[in-house]
Amino acid sequence: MEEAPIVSMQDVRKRFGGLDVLCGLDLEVSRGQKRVLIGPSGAGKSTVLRILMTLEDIESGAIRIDGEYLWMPDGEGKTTKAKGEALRRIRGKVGMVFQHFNLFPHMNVLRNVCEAPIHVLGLSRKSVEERALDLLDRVGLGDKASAYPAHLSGGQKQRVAIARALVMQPKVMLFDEITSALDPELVGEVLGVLKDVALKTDITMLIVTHEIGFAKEIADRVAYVDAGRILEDETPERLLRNPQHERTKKFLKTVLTT
Amino acid sequence: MDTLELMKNLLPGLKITLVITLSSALLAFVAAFAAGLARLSKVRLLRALALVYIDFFRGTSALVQLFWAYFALPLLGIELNAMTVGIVVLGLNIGAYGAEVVRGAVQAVPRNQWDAAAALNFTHATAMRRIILPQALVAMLPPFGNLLIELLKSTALVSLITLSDLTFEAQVLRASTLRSAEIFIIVLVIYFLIAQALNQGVKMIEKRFTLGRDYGVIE
Repeated sequence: MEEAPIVSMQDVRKRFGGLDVLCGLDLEVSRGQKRVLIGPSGAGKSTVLRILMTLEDIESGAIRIDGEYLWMPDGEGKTTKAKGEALRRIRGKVGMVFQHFNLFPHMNVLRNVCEAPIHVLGLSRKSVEERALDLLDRVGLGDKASAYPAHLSGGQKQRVAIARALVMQPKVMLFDEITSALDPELVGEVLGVLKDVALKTDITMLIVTHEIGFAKEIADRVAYVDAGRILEDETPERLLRNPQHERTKKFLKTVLTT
Repeated sequence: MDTLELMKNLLPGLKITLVITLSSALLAFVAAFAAGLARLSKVRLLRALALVYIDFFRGTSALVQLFWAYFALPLLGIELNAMTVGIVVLGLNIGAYGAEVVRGAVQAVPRNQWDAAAALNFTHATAMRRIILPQALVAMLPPFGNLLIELLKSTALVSLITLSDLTFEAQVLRASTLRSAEIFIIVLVIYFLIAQALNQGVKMIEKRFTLGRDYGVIE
């Protein structure tokens, strides 16, 4: 029997104001998979991640994370979100890195990383700091532990944000265009860290990116999202070399030539 | 009577002014946070209560509030001494303005800070306490400093409900010496100096809370 997917979204619909952002999106991610979402802006890629992070609500559909319902449909078109303990348990399995880092500006780097394990998981400061420093070393910022975010470059901030998410040991990590706000010369260092995480851990990763070359390198599968649906979902070689849909072809042509 | 002696005569009044200022400031601080956070609550009743409090105290004259609490409340069977009335009314009055400062500052913390906290599985309360409020506080401090000085100056009103504060003592002294110009210059300078001291205090706190940041709350 095949193992159940760690993330499963079925027929998810999401509307912002009068705009349909997701129009019956289906997505299944198996355990440990590195899944990349590509597609034109406004297609709903980031919305997918924000919904999985429990930051956005949906209109209808079913969403399960690690076997538990985040959104459970009642069979009559309505769907309800997990609440209280269940919601926090599900949320604890997911971590996210944001396009604009979202570091806590009033805390130094070490505290940014340690704050949640100490005050959310209730772990002892000593053990957390040890692990945090290890992680900071791993993302190449061991010497920046006492610096404040305002004094870091964008690339450094984003690496702190990755360490901050990793320290919570999530089962699923969501990366929302994490290099889009960076100066071009800083993109490499962040992708390097991301690649390291992808290759050396069994964390399931959902990555929204415009770095097609990078996607090819680390993705197990690449999904092409367009107008609130997944149009194609393939291995990177197949999708990038031999896209089936006209719109996929057109999109790839645009991003690959620029 | 020389100038020094005039100042000596004002000292007991100065003490009362300081006690009222600091006590009402404490009350105002607590009231500002309670009402400001209540305004942001999911519970409708809390929001409504906070709004009534804020609108009432901001919408009516502080002097009339003092008169009402001191002269009218006893008719309803609630008798408070002048000192308590002064502290409570001025504290609640400035607290009402402070509540709007708290609300505004919390709302000014970027939405993405809530997102980051949620992504790290913070509860709403812990996120508020550890992530949002420390950032909001930085934005609250300058307007709080303003309000504190406003409060200091409005303590002069308590002289009208029989309290012998700095202004009251000045009046008494003027009546007995007729040296109005001198006395009121001294009083002006004293108020000014206290305001400066309060200012410095707030600045020190501000410095402590902006540690590591080059500029306010916006990253």
